[in-house]
Amino acid sequence: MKKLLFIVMLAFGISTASAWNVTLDEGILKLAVKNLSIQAQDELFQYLGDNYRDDVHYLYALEARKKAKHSKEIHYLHLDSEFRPLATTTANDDALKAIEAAADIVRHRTQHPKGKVLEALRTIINLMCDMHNPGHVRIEGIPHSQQDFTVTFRAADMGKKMSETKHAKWSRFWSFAPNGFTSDLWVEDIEACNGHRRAEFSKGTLNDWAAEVGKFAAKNLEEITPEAVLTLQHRNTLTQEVTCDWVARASFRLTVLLNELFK
Amino acid sequence: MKKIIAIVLCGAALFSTYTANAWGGFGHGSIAYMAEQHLTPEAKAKCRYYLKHTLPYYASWMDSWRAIPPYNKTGAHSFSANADGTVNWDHGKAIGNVNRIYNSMKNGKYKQMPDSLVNINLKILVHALPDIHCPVHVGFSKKDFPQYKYSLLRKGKPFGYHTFWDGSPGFKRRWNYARYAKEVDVISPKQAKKIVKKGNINAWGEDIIRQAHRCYDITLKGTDVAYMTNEQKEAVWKLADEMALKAAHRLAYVLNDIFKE
Repeated sequence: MKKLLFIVMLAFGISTASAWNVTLDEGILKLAVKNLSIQAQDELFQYLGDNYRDDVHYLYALEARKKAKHSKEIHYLHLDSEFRPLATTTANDDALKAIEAAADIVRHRTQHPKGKVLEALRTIINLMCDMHNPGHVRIEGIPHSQQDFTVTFRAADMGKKMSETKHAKWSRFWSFAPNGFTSDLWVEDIEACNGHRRAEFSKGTLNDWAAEVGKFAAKNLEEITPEAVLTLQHRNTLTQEVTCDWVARASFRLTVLLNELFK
Repeated sequence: MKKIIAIVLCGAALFSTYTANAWGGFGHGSIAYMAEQHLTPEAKAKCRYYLKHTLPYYASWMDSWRAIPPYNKTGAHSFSANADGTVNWDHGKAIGNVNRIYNSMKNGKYKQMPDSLVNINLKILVHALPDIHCPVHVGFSKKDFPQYKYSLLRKGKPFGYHTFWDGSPGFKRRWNYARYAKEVDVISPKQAKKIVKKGNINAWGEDIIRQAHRCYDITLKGTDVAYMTNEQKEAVWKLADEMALKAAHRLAYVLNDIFKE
């Protein structure tokens, strides 16, 4: 029964409290693989199967099956007030540290069983997507970033119906996933939107990338608080016109990381 | 900033107010996806340049912005039919918007517009042109067609006629856009040519009006959409798919024509 439920969840892109939906994350991975060096592609294909859906939400799938050894906090970046990795977290409860630990396994893959390398690769893929979601950052000194909260928004000055108040969870706020998109269409869309910025987005290290997401999240958390009511315009601009840049960063940087690991 | 707002307002001033809901996200996305498959390389490149995204990405853009000024002046979805089956251009709303934008951009006129206005015009076209193909977006007057004013049922409770047909392309289907295109967009180039009628929007309107009558024969008064027979479902899909396909080919025609060199 649990297995059936898991299959249904994967099929319809429902995964527990995931940052972006499974189809979008699959698109991020497909584009990352497309941009890999031939050598890195050859190496990666020794581990990954044909069905990327099993890989992109690997950690969420473990959680859904209650087989996770990690905390759910693993899907979040934990940064101090200067946007540096927090000293108190570990690879079990922080995205950045979990990626670093998994990268180490892939880097020294000849010393590990194939299954462990595959698990590490899936961890990297899942968390590179998660850490680029601005709703998945905990920042020291910003209390409302420490746990999920409800974002409220409404369209001002419109008729009765349109001035309704609506809500979204902060962890899921940064998403725009039109119903019916395929992962291949996401690949096309990311390239159409940000293909020309690949070199720009690819610069830096894991720590730089974490700090960049952190700074962006902190800036937005000044205005977006549990008490604030956003305008619909503000919400639409962020979700439709800004989220796509973070999606592209996730994909291009996943390429950088995998190229480096398989060099 | 003031310049941008002025440009947006100028574009918005061309249009009238919105009325009702749309095809639904899945229907709009599928139509835009199919349309994109029929764009010329030039038109596709221009759409990408101005939109910075694929057509399906912005297929429902207008629905999420139509509550926000100045876009609340641009969100018309429907148009009215005269009793004789012709388009009532005095209450053309959505079809009037499509016509105005198309005419204001074709023959290279889009090149005189700021990029931001081309961007908004494209977002409106990608949504409004498919919208007028939704059978329930044709307004039949109560005086001429009093028999068309009724609700449906869902599990015994009243359910909006409009709401049902808005969601008809995705009704009881768990498809993505690519699957929808594969199943539905199976016509020959000759059939496609017949559909686009050389870009005659008035002829499209009259065709849509003729087809719109059919939905009232398919979902009769008292129909419970939760318990439809397979035959009824097939009839719903047939009409919805025909209209979605027409919308896709006509949208592609308009965009190809606007951006032809």
